[in-house]
Amino acid sequence: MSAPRPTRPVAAVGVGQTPFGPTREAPTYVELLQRAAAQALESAALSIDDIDAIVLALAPESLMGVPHAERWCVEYLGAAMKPVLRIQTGGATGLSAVEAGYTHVASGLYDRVLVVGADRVRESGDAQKIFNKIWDPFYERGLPLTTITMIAMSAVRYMHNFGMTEEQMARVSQKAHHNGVLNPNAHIRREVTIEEVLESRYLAWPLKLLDACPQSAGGCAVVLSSADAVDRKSQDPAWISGHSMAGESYYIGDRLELSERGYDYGDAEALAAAAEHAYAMAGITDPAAQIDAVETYASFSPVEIHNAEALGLAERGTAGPMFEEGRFDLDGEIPINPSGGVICTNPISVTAMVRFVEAVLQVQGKAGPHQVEGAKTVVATGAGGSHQFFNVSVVTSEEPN
Amino acid sequence: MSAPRAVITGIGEAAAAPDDSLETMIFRAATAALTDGGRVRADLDGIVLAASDQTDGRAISSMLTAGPAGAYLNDEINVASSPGHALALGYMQILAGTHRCVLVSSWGKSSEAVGGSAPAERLSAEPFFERDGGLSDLGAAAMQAGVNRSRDPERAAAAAAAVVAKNRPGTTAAEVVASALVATPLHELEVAPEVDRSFSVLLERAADFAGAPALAGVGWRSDLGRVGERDLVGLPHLTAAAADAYARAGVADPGAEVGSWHLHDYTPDAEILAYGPLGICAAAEAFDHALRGDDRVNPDGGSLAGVAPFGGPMRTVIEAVRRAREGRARFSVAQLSTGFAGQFQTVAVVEAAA
Repeated sequence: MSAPRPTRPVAAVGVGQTPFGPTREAPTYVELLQRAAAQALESAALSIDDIDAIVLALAPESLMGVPHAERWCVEYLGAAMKPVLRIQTGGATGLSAVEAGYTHVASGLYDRVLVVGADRVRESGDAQKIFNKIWDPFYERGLPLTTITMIAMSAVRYMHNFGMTEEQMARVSQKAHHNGVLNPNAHIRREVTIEEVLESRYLAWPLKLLDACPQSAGGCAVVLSSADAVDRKSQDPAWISGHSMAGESYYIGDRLELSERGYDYGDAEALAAAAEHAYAMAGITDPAAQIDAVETYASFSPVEIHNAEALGLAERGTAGPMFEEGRFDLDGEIPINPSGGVICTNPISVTAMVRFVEAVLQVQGKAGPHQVEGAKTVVATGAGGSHQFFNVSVVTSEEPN
Repeated sequence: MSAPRAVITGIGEAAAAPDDSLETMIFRAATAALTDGGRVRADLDGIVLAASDQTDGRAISSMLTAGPAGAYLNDEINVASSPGHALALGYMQILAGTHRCVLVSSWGKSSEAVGGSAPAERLSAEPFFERDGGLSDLGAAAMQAGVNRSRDPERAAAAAAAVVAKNRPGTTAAEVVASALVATPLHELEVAPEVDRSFSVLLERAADFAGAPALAGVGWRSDLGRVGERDLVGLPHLTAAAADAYARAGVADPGAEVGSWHLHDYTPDAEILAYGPLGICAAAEAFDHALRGDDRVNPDGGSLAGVAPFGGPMRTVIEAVRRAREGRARFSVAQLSTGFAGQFQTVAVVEAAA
């Protein structure tokens, strides 16, 4: 089957991010929504009255303690009487919401769509206690399976298959923290050394504290536009040239054997499937040659390693040494997570949207101190559930044909 | 060649069999829709879910429910705000040209929860001002019914009883009035009972729709969250959603062109209040219209005959497709609402094959 072609191109014409940080220092949830939305609208030189429809990114509502919070957020977004819908795909939510907004515009029904979300991840206390309950209560929860042990098992499998070392993981974390220092919006902004990472306490072997993401608060927003509605005088469009999402099986036990394509739980097969689809839409046939930078959802350092492979930036089993060689550093061949990534900032509902916004800023040349020189094609990814839901967006400076 | 449209090639509905898990019930409807459409899971390039964490009792419901709805290594997304919104996104995916074959699924299975869905639903009330006031689905519906009936108490009550008698076969208006008062002014028989159901709708992209009905237009709009600040009887967001859907479908005179309306009548008042915004009759004539009876409205019983929490309003789409397949009228209309007193409104126009 040939790659699907959207009926019309879609551009991001405005983006907004609040500074990210600890929940105790953050404004209220709706204020975070409003600040991010206002910033995105301002950067697009639009007002809320110019917006045809709204997509809200709201991941596990248990984190904020109000089920279906989209219902009471309507008035705070100026969304009454507008078409509004909410997306929830776990950690992938932010990018899924962008994709839903893209679909609004590509369908031809709407010209300008606001995609917005926020999170206060520690609003209900420790998010980890909520995530401990996402597993099937009969078969897997008792392992005990958590979002930490979930990735630890994947890392162990990848180590077994390809010889990844804890030093390679630490190098990923060291790179992320270095980039995060350059990002004024990052939650964690401090340099760490490989030795510090290796000496930090174990969460679940081989994952250590400094291999892991924080629990962040903040808001993020994007204004999407049809090509016809782009105002070239006041707006700087970044184009969505490809996007896709793919889901894995819920039960991790179902992923332990080799799949038909030869992947196992050490890999990110669904990310590879999503990338394949998104690349086909975008006309990317040689990712390592055609992609200038990547903002990938990697909540723990080893995830970034297998993501690089799933995204076609490295052959399977070879990415670990490439990270050690600095080939994915900010000044490397294909910078990965120039913003510092999820290891420095993780406001779950919008973590994946931040990846997209950073990709937009990169192709616009507006990323500031963590700008990748000459970036024209940047890939953003999201991940959610039991390392289960993956999405990929290809953002380009050039309008797709 | 005519412009590509969204065609509904398959529908599936499943009631939970004894001992069915949630995922088994979802799987039954998804499989039924695929079979109905002559498709298999591998044909799907998009899965759209309407999964409510609150109703399903899980932090991320779609982790569990995406698989039985057909998602595995293919494109899938969860629209958590309303089954109507999930239908709208599937519709847009087809129009956008990014997808060719999309399965949209929603469900509700509250029998697993003590007290049904109501205790969980109450938690979705705005936490600072409305939750402590005891706002609930039933309470909001009663407030809406109260405002509606205050306009003409005797006629409104009689109209409500007539709607229940129409939509709940075997029930008389006298029995409605005699049933227990559960939340003033609503009697027990005026409140839709909860059932366990799952629904799936198979959408495909086609340049023509010979042999299958088209999803010719979908509109969806939102009102404010705070019930006290809304026009609970005028329903301006339903009016706007209907206008969007009709314009997209090319319906100029709904009262004359639409053969059947399938409404989410969580109370009889919800049905009566929808008449005006949907163009079934003038809003001022709604009580009289209900008293006369209109067998084009909820001809298959409506939600008052039983509704699954959250995902249940997708029933209206399934019924509209069934009517469209009979080919007796060009258009059938489905109305789906979600949230307290129908905060989110979706209208879908199903067009029979030529």
